[in-house]
Formats: sequence, C-alpha cells, structure tokens
Amino acid sequence: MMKKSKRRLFYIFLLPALVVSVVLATAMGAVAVPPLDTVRIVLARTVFSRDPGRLAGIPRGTVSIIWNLRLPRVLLGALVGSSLALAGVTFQGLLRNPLADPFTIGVSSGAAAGATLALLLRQLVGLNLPHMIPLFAFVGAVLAMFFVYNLAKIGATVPVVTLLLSGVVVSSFLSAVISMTMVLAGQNMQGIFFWLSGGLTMRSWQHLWFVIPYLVLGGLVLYSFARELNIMLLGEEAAHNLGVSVERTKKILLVTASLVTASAVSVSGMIGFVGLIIPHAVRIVSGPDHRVLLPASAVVGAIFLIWADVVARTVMAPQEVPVGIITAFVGAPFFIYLLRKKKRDIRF
Amino acid sequence: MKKSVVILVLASLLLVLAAGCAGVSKSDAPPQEVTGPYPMIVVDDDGRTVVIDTEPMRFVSLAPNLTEMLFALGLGDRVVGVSDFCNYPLQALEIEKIGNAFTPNVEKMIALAPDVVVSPRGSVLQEAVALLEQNGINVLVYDPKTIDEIEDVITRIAAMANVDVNGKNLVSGLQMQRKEFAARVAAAGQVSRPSAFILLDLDYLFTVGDGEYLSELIEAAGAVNAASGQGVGYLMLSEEVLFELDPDIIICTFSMSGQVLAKPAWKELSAVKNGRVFDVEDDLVSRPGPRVILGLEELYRAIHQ
Repeated sequence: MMKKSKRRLFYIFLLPALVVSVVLATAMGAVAVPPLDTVRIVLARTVFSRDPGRLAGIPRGTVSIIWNLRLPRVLLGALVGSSLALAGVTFQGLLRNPLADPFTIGVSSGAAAGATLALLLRQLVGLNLPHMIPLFAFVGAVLAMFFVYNLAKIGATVPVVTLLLSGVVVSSFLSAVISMTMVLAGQNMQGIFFWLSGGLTMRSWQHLWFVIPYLVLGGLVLYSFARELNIMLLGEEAAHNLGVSVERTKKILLVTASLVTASAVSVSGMIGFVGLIIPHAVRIVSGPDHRVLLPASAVVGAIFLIWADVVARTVMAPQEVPVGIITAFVGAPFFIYLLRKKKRDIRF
Repeated sequence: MKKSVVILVLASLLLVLAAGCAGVSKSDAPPQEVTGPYPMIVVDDDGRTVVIDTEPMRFVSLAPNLTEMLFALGLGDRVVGVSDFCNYPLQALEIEKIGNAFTPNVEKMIALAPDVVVSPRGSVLQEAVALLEQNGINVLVYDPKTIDEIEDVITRIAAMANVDVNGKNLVSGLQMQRKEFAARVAAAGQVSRPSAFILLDLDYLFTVGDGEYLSELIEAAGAVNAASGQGVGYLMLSEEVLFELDPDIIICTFSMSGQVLAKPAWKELSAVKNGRVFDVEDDLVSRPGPRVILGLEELYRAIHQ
C-alpha cells in the first residue's frame, strides 16, 4: 500500500531539515551572535552542563539572548507550527473540506475571546495572574469547542455540514465579542491587535509546557487514527460499511485536534495559514495517505513556522513584525507556486 | 435597457445631491457684536485657519492634556464636554463625556453646542473633525509633542480664549520650574548618565524611540533613553535588543515592576539584578500638558533612586 520511498524521503530529508532549521534559526536574530558561539552556548547548557568554563569569553548577555530568548522561541515556533499543521490535516480530512483549517470550527475564536477578556480584565480591574492570557485563551478555546460540538449534534450523530455551520456561526459571534472588547479597551487595544495577528515574541521556556503534552499525546492519537482518516475520505457511509465506527472516530479526532489547536493558539495567538496551507502543500508532494501526511505535515509545519518567525524577527530589526503577517505573506505565494507546478496532480 | 436608464437617473440624482451638499455655506449667521479681540483668526497645528466670532464660552476637549490645559488656564467652568480619558483635575470627571479618540460621539458634541472643540490629531478624529465643521462647529487641532510645544500651545489657547494673562503666568511658572529642575539634575552630577528603558507593556516589548515626548522627558530628567537610535516613535522591539542594550534602569508606565523583577528570562538583565526597575504614573509622563514638571519629578525619582 504505502510506498516505502515516501517514508524514506521523510526520514532522510525532513527530519534533518528540521534539525538544521532549529540550529540556523537560533543563530539568527536581531542581535548578531557568531554561529560558533551559539553552538557553544547551547552545548554548554545541555551536554556539558557541569563545565562552566566552556562559556569563557562569551558575554553573559549573549548567553541570555541565546538560551533564555532565542532557543525557547525557535522551539516554541516548531511546536506551534507542528500543532497547527497536524490539526489542519485532521480537520481537512475529517470534514472532507479543502478550506477547513484548525480555526474553522471556532476554536481559535474562542481562544481569541478568552485572551482579549484577559487583557481587558487586566487593564480595567488590574487583575493579574501568572500566565493569565494563555490560560484564558485555552479555556476559551475549549469552551468554544464544546459549544460548537453540542450545537452541531443531531441525536447521536454530528453531521459535517452542521459542524461547519455552527463553527462559522459561533466564530462570527465571538468576533463580535472581540470587537466589543476592543472598543471597551479603548486606548490600549494594541495588545489585542498584536495578539490577534499572532506572534512568538516575549515567550520563554515555560510556554513550551503549554504545548508539549498536547502535541505529543494528541499527535500520537491522531496518528493512530490515520487509517480511519484515509477510509473516511471515501465518505462516512462507505467508512461505516468498511467497519469504521464513524461517530466515535469523529468525536475523538475533533476533540483531540481542537485541544492541540487550543494549546498552540493559547501561547501564540492567531497564526493563520499554517494549518490551511501546510497540509495542502504536503499533500501535493506526498499524496493523500494520512500515514505519511500527518507526520510529514507536522515536521513541515514546524520548519515553516521557524523560518517565518526568523523573518518576523529580522526583517525590520530591531523592531518586530507579528509572525501571523509573515505566514500569510510568504505562505500564499509559495502555495500558488506549488499549485501551478503540480496542477495536474492535485488530489484531495 | 431599462436598468441602465434607472442607474443613469440615480447616478445623476446623486451628483446633484453631492453638489448641493458642497454648496451649503458654513456661516450664514449674521455677524455678532464685536467684543475685545474678536472676530479672531486662529491657525491651529494642522495649519487650518478658523475664524472665531466671539469669545468662546463653551469648550469641548477631546484629549486629557488639552483638558488639563483648559483647567490650568482657569477655563474649567467653560468646559462642557470632555473625552472618556480626561480624569484630571477631578472636576473633569463630572463633565459630560463625549467618547474617546477612537469612538468620538459627534452627535453628542453637536448637542452640547460648543463654541470651540479642541482636539488632538488622530485618524478617527480627523473624520469627526470634518463632520463637526460641516455642522458649523469650530474645531482647533492642538498636538504638542515636546515641552516647548506645551508652552506654545498653552499660550495660543490662552490667546484664543482671551485669557492671555493667565497664559503668560502659567508659562512663566512652567519655565521657572523647568529651570529649577534642570539645575537639580545638573547638581545630582552623575559622571555618566544612566540608560533608562521605558517599558509600556509586558506581553509585547513596546517602548518609545527618538522624537517621542516620553523620550524627551527621560533625557531632561538626567538619563539616556536606552532605545534611542532604535527607531522613531512607538516601537515594538525584539526582546534580544533589550539584552544587547542592557539598560541601567527599567521604567514601567504601568504597575508591573514586580512582574518584571520576577520574570525568569530577564533575571540576567543589569537593571533586574540591581533591582532598578520602577513604576511611574502613566498619566504624568505620557500627557504633554501643564503637569509636565510632575512627570519629570516622577522620572527623576526613578532615575536617581
């Protein structure tokens, strides 16, 4: 069934590309740090952590920049890109809709509403909890997911059409909530604006732990359902006849992909395009088999967001651009290129 | 065929209407009795010329710093409308609110029948200003960006409202306080000026670069703006740059010094290590108005602590 060469391509090309991307991206930034120093710092903090002499000659500020700011940010970019791409593949397969992405069924709007509420509370009431924005965003995302799911439920089934529609409706409603919050926030709405544009600025090691559990566990669950996703592309009835318990599969995949999205969005804001474009781009190259599509998209999504964030950090340095703007700016032309080049091979 | 005829008729109707609107003249009221220096020709910061027929008795202010100026000039009892953000002096809180710079309520302003509306610059406000003018209300744009411009705007508002003496007293008072303050900064006599980084937000590294009011205050209070040279106006900087600059002092415009000091990723910053992270009162340091000296004092305390 599955071509061995495809899987080989994945291990030979994609995984090394990810590692190289992490290393190069860590060496690039608003402040110039010699690549060799970058490697020395990372090694000194990981492999040779018992030997402080290895950092001799490197200013402490540089160590902080690499270890406390840049590396966690690059890794977070990889995790978020991975999460969004995985969720995108799942939603597109599950909803059998090429326009579906992690944000289609309202998860992101829920997260955005939660985040804006947190920003507003902090500003108006002075309420300030540690990690308040990610927590509020996550709770908002999960609430939105449950709301959409139950809205779409008809008896024991969740038809794809009602799911898409309730997602759109809930998203519109939540956008109104967000706009209202921005009006209330008045002169300090730039925080909300930047959150909505998506970004990885001012993130630290702690934020990684918001994403890792969901990505690892969620990724395993999604991968274990790769075969079911393949079969469901034939249509729910056909899948049912082939022995797939359609409603159960759908429920598990929806909840898992939503949680993966929620955790990513809670720390990065609304980074669009990754979850929509990466699955398509990978599908053009690898074909529609989810056993390849899922892991390959996860890695390509990670690489893509790492580089988009490098651009966001450096293109206007010392100033920063929200990475969500870059993903759309770079992603759209790239996708058009792929589409033109592989026109005949588009399959879904 | 029929459809195109209808469209043609509608289009020409619209044209006629538009022409009619443009033709409505602004001042068809008879000239009023001439008192004092009126009618007066006033030029505002946008270079627009406005004719003020009589001494203005009803003001609407769209910015906190302009409200503070009106009150400092003794014109407080003539202010009939203020923005949502105008919270000083306390009497301003009692005055009718007319929205803010992002959601100005033109209807409410017109209902207040002001003689003059004073407004800062702003993209949304620009539309409101046009609308007010179409309704025959005088709008003057004042947008001071430096300490000298504060004094200039105060003088011009005083002249416009026929309270020149109050204006002169206020400005000479300010100038005297500025001189005393400068002498105190000089006497504090540091060999090298410390670098201070302004932190406007904790989620995004917002700060002020060159040419911004807050940047001028920092320099006047005896420090160097750490973000000088990184750009002009308000900037969202890369976190790495903060480490490269490694400022001596971090000044927060909201109460977030506690959080800055507790931020694990920032514990290597000199300012954090030395505990030189301070909160200042945002309203005092961000409003180019008559309380500029208090803003300078606020920064002085942080810088020379």
